[in-house]
Amino acid sequence: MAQRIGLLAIRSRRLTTHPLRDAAVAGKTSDFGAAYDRYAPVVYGLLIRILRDPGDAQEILQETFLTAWTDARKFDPARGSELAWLIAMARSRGIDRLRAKQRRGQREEEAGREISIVRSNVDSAGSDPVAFREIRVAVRSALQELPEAQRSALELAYFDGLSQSEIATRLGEPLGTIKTRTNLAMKKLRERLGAFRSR
Amino acid sequence: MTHEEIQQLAALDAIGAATADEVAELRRHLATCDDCRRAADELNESAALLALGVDPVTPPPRVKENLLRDVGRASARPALQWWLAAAAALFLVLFLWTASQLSDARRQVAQLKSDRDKLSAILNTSHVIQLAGQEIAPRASANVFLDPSQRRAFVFFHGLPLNAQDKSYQLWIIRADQVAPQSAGVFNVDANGNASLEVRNLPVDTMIKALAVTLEPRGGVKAPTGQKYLVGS
Ligand SMILES: [Zn+2]
Repeated sequence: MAQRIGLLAIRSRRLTTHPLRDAAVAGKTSDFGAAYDRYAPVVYGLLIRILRDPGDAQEILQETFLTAWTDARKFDPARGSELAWLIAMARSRGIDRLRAKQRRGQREEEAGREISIVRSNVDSAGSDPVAFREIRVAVRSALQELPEAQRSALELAYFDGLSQSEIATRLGEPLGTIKTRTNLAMKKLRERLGAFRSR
Repeated sequence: MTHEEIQQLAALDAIGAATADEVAELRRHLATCDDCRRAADELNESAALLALGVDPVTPPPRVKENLLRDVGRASARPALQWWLAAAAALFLVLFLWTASQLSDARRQVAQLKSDRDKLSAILNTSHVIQLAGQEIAPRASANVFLDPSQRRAFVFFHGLPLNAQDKSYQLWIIRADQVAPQSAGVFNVDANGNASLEVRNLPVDTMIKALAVTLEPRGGVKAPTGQKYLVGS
């Protein structure tokens, strides 16, 4: 029927298109599947990192994209890229799941289990969108430039879902120190990644 | 709190590290401060980019299969319910009209108004295209309610001649960006010459120059061959 609009053609380093939202709003399942293919490895990689369990990660991955389909109209392009929207949803669900499992005490038992991550063929196959690869390089170098203490404060919060006071306790540092480190790290990240945000 | 302190809270919130009280304070401030809201959006997006620093991992194909199956279920149900409700309402209205023997002109005005009323509860359509009956079917009419935000339209046809078994009506979109009409699909009319359709995946509304209906061999054709029954822009 209607011609396909160039949904997947992202040439800019900035993630300004929203193929996932467009496909969901138009009710186009096949385009939605194509947008899933584009984003899923990033989101799944994040969930594996957070949950360290492929089964949980797959469940949350599926839930996140289903929510993206049903709630596509809640996405506001003026406030960020749709990948950022997707990632924020996946992260918060992932952390919730992690916390629930910790409460149930499953985490200890699983800590020793070796998770075999199927390394993505995305990079080697060259199908990882160029824009993503560029951001990946920028994010990693920005993180490497952070002092170790700032980086770990950031990562414990973002990937492990620890509160600032939990981090303070774990590291044996005053709460104020941790907050300062986190703030400095985020400030740096915001500066360094400016070119890659959607605006 | 100063704007700077608020933006520090926004940085914590971006990585999910603000307490509930801090989040509440932040929200209150962001509701009235554009500068801090912009800063918060940037911080949130920067935090999300952290995920791109992690190695991507291709999920097993099963996840996508399950997802698309769920997506199909999620979208099929509401559409069907809406469709049945609208169709039922429309047929009731048409039945009443037929009984009241309105004049053609009055009938068309009433049809538009009624079609619109039926849809207004569901859609924010401001853009209506009316199609007029051509020489071969002067009493025919149609109202096309465009819903640009969702690239769809609801089309109500009235007074078309009953199509023979081996013929279909075909709806065409004449686009601003191409000469050849684009088929939007085929349909049949009921004994009263009425039909109601939902058209999906339309081009953006500014690209729609006009619409037309022709009578074609059953199942439709690639390019219009038959006489025009309805035209409108
Ligand atoms: Zn402010």
